[in-house]
Amino acid sequence: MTTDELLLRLRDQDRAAQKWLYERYSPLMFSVCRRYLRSREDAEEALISGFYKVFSQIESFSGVGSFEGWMRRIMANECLMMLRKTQPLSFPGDEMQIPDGADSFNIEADISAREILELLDQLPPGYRTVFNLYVLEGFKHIEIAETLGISINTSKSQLILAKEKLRTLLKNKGY
Amino acid sequence: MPDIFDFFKENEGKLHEKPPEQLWQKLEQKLERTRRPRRRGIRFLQTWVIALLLLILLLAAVAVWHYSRK
Repeated sequence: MTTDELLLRLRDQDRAAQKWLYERYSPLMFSVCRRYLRSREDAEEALISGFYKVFSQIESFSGVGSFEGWMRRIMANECLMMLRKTQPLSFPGDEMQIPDGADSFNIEADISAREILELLDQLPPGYRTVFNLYVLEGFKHIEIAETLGISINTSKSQLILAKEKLRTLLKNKGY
Repeated sequence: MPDIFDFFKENEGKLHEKPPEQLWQKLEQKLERTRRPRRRGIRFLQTWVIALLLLILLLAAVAVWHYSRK
């Protein structure tokens, strides 16, 4: 099935097409939700709400850009809404000076999915959210600032702090 | 060697995980719930159209009977 055919069927609310899309993308989208939300139950709820929005707002997909990217954004927004519902996002250390220069830390190791999730779970919600949006979703700092209602500098400092924390956690694990 | 961000990007695929089976059913139920009002609306409209047609038929029958008596 081509993307155009799929979109046509999704616009008709074709249940078989919806199921096909869900089967195809739910493992990826579930991983997106798991990265933002510590609780598995919350991640499952965000996944359902996200797919519901994908199906009910399919008309709003303009066809510009990738369909997968559009779905990922919906999922990320659902997770952010859930995060705000369960705990207000705090951004500690947002007054820090942002150092210039590239990070010299390099890593080459084999790491399991469980270990990755454990590392992300150990980040405070503010660090983790900015890290997810910037590194894995590909948002720019200005977009993160708008999405989370914070300053661009706060977004940058949260990312640096997340990097520092991850570096320490990885070193503690012996990587 | 990749840096710490590249390291996470490259390993992101490992996090892909099939969600529990019952989630699709929950989603399907949610989708069904939002479809129902439209169906109910159509059924409601169909009932009224049928009732109106029956009334017109009845009135026509009465009219025919009335004029045939004259």
